[in-house]
Amino acid sequence: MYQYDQIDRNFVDERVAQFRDQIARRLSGELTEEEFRPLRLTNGLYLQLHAYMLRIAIPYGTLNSRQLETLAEIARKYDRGYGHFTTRQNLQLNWIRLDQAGDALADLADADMHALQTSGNCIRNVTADHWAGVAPDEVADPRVYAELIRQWSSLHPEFSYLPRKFKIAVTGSPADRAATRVHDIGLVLKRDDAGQIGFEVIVGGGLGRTPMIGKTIRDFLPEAQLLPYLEAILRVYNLAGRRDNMYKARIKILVHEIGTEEMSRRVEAEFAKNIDSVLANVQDEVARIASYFTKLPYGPSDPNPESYALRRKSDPAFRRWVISNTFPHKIAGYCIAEISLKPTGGIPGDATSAQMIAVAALARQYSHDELRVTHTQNLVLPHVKMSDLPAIYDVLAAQKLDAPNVNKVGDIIACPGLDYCALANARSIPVAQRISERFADVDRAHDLGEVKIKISGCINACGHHHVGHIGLLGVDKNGEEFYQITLGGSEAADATIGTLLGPAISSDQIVDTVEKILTAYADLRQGNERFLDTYRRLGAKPFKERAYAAA
Amino acid sequence: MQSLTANRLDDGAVVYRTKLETWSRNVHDAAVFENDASAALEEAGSDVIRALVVGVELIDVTMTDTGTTPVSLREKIRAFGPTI
Ligand code: SF4
Repeated sequence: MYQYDQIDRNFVDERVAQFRDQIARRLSGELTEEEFRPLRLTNGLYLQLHAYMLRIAIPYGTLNSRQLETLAEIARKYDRGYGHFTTRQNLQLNWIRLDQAGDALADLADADMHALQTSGNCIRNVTADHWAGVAPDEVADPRVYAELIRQWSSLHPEFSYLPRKFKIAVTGSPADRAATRVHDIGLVLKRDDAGQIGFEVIVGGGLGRTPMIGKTIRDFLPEAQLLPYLEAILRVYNLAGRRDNMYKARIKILVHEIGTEEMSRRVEAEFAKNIDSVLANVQDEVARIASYFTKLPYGPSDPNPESYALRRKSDPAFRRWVISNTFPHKIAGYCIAEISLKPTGGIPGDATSAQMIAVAALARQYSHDELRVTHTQNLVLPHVKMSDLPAIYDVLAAQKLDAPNVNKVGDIIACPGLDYCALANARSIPVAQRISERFADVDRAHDLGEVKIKISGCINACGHHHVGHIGLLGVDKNGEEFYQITLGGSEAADATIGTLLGPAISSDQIVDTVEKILTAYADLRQGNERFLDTYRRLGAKPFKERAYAAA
Repeated sequence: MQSLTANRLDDGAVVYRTKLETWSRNVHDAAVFENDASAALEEAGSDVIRALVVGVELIDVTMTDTGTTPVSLREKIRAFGPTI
């Protein structure tokens, strides 16, 4: 785990003090809302439908137990005792008071956290593979580079007023669990023939109004050149990005308009001016950061201990949870345990303070004091001994955190939608709740296998609907909620934007329609095909026929 | 029919302009403007300047047995809270 040094700490403390002063001046009327709003947003504080919302950055989705406990305490003290984990590995608190926001941020700073870079046209909180450092297929730990980028980009003066927000994701493995191809910049760690570490650099991906898959502009960028190269991309974008039209201002539009080759040429030209910059000389800093993340004292662990094997045999619920929620770890005898925040009928990504505290305790006892937040709105215990799984499972079950549905139909991503969000056209959460209730039968859900349903309440696509195997987008038709369906999306290494199936479906019909689509899959699949495979083999036609067939 | 709504500055809570030109948390207390509400809108603007509320807006409402009720789903959710 990276820990703040004195520089980080002073920086965050100063920001909290500044913001406290700004809040006081706003409350006294000295600052107008127009003056205050950008200051508030820089500190992660939004005004939503019912209250202020605080978006807290969880850099690259990594937390220690104390940090999760702090989040739980802040949710209890300043909010309503729960929080919402988002698709950007952040935590949102929905009921914050302006006059207490400074106190909440001060508590946050005490646990080495902040809410900077969660809003505005800056480089946002960097996201990373939630299995960083533990995945068997990993080339190198992406968090080292994500932290380097965090330090470089935090309130970077040159990049604080970009044409639009800017999101960077880093993955350490070819499987791409960080959705790098739908970010403004995606970085995929790899090794060249000589075994040196570097990155594939992908630019211009994104969702929202104009979804695009990113383009590779550099197959292999040596590790040491990362920051100068990123700086070159940002400079090209900062100058040429479309400031005239908010809907065309993301880098994806620039890349689309000038083409991948021209983008690459401009970046390389800028980079050539930059290659000797001090940013190319960060080996010491990389080594310093890396020292925080490596060398956990893994003890020996039996891959199939008796306590675990017996429980697996005798308890079908435990067995199912192990099958769907645990994954291989790079060290034998360990596994990665994912905690689903998607109980049947629950609110995707929500956790109560009590649940967060229980999970923090599990991490402290069984996972080297470390946790992850996934972009699918779940939590991860990344370093779990097989022999500890029964005890962990029992705690999770007591906290109602034992849903055995990771990557299954119930593991739905949903943005806050019209229940909270000021920009929404339609609700997301109730649709997710109804779908998860419809597929509550665990046998059926496991039979359907991997299905990724993603729901957004408006075209901003915070629920990543374009890259859902089944994506739902809420639209407002004359005051009624309707949902557009896209099929065949993927955010993984085979990133694909889903295809619109047909006319939008009413809120009343949407759950039935999703069921029809999945029933069609169950009838049409061959062998071990996932939903996505069957869709890719057959195309939209059979699904469309079934989805729109009269009942 | 229209009413005036805003968010309270200090806690962000949803409030409605009453007949007494105060702000109520309860939508049913909202004053209803049958015709031109622009004078009321301007009047309420003074509370923006006094840093009491932000985002003053006119919304469509109807009268029901319980009192003033918003028309749109968005405003119903603002008035009565999340539906989940
Ligand atoms: S997708 Fe739209 S409705 Fe959903 S959280 Fe984002 S802005 Fe709000």
